[in-house]
Amino acid sequence: MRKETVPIINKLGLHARAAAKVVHAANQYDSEIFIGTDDEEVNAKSILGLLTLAATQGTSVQIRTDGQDEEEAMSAMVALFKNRFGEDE
Amino acid sequence: MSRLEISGIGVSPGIAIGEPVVYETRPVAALRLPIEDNEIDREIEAFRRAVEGTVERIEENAERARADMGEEYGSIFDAHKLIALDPGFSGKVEELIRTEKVNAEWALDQVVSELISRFENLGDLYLADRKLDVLDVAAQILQTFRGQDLHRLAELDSPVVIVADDLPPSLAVQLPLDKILGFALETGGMTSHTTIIARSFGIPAAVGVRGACEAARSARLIALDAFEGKLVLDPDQVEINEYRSRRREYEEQQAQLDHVRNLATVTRDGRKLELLANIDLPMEVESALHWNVDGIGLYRSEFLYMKASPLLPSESDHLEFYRELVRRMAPRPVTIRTFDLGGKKLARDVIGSPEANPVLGLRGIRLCLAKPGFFITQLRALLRVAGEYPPGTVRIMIPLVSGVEEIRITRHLLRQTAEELRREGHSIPEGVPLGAMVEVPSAAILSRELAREVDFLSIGTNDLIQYALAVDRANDLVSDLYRASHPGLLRLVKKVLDAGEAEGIEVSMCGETAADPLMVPVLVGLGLRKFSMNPQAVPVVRNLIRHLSYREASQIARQALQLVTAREVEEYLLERLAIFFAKIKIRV
Repeated sequence: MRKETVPIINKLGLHARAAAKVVHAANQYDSEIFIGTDDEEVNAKSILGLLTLAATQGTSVQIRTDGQDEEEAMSAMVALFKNRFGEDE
Repeated sequence: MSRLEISGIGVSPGIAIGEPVVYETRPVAALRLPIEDNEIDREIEAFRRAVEGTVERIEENAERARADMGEEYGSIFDAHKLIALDPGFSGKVEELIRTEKVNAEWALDQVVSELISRFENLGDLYLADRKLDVLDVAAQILQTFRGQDLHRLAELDSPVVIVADDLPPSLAVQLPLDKILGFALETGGMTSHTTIIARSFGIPAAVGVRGACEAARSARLIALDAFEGKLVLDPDQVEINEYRSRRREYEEQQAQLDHVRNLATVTRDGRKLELLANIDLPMEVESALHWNVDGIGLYRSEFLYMKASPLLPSESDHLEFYRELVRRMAPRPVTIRTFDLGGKKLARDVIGSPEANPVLGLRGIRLCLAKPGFFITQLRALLRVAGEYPPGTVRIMIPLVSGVEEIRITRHLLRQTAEELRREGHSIPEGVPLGAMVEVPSAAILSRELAREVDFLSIGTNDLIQYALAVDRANDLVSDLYRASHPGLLRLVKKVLDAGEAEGIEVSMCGETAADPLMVPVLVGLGLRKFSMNPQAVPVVRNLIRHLSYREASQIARQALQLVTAREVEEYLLERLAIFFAKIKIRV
């Protein structure tokens, strides 16, 4: 199992379109992938889970991957968050 | 059933008596219906089909949105699809159906309610707004699940009165209007789309009729008095007879005006005026031609967008539609207002999050210039159609202009677009008329400067009143402050008319005020020559103008401008024009 903490840096936070990108990325991997804040942890393969996570700009989230391809899954997740989900700001 | 009365606001005059059809577009608190063990699989199967149908539609929409607007715009549909398929959504609904042995609608409602309250608890504006996406998906599934309500409506033998919580524009334009006696809506306002449709087709309508859906569900017959904005459920026989006779009286009155259809719009002392039509829907051209208008003063192109919704219309969608419109109206001029949406649906998809204050947000020309892609698609079609007719037939008008800069940028875009079309081999003329709507106070104040940069101005009073007086007419608490007779507004209108006169360009008015019998004499007196209105209002206004003298109207306008409150202006007009209105049988 791997764990890493990344900040949410895009302006709109984990909104619907960004969450959709996370789900798509997560679905590429067999590992279980979870995203968590201090209060709760949700399945990264469920858009509704991600949407109910209070993750606005400036929040730090913990990514947890667990499975055969956990290392690849983790680097893909981290890259997506760092890349502001492909958004400009 | 016992008699019940609910009041609202009448927005399209008339009386409707008939059976109610309740149409709720929001996911409503569904009834909890127990189902038998052997029905569970069937219920789940039906729900799955609804989800699949919804996903298919979302995919189609996504594909076209991507093609029309680019990858980023398609991705909102992607999110919707993931929501529909999320085990935390559909999976939960199925689980509830099975464990609780209940109908799918109730199960869906439970799951949605729970999600919504979780979103609302999040607090943060962006987060709470995410519930809109979930609601949107839930509404689509519910609609698919409930089947083809609209088609069923079209197949009805006898017409009905529609009672709805809200009719989204995309739905309103699909209604079989010949089967509808009236509309009673819980939400909406004077300028909402269903209101405009109702008025265009002379269908009685009232808005703000709170609780109408629930009350109407158990009513057998309803009477809608859209003069008073009153909905009566299960009226007694005496009342029914009274309403019938009022309806007859109104229809006779309307019929008497038929003789003005081919008469000139000219005052008693010979001032020639023009009456133009405001239209939304293709079929309204019929009515405009029937009343022999001098042209289309305002074609609201949003219809095209609503029809294609949630996608965007293509260049050929535009082209096909404008060609048909202009073909039927030519040689009379047709003024097409470019895309004036924003605020709600499209802006949300484009911007990614709702605006805190959409009325002051990215809408009208601002949205067009911020996302020029679809604006240029529209400009291309407009220029191409303009090239097929004599100069001046097709005129382009831009909404929500606040100053000169937006005109200059639009001109620049128009020039570039024309050049591009010429390079592609189209014959595009120079100088297709470009006009600006005057509906933002700064545009009225700068009307002289604007007049030097455009070919015509058109005063859109609905928004101008709202912005100048800072009043939301749909807000009950302040709606009585919304007054066309406000001295502040009269002065702004005069300023624009004077600017047009000084710079030698045409000024028209296309808001509701242009058809308000009380205001028409003042407007004629202030020098307005072109009145654009919904075609149904043409006979009343033409008849009024034919009985009016310009000299007298000028005196009235001068006097009205001396007054300092809306009330004083109204009282003065009512008194001054009382005999006049009585003579031409106008109730004000």
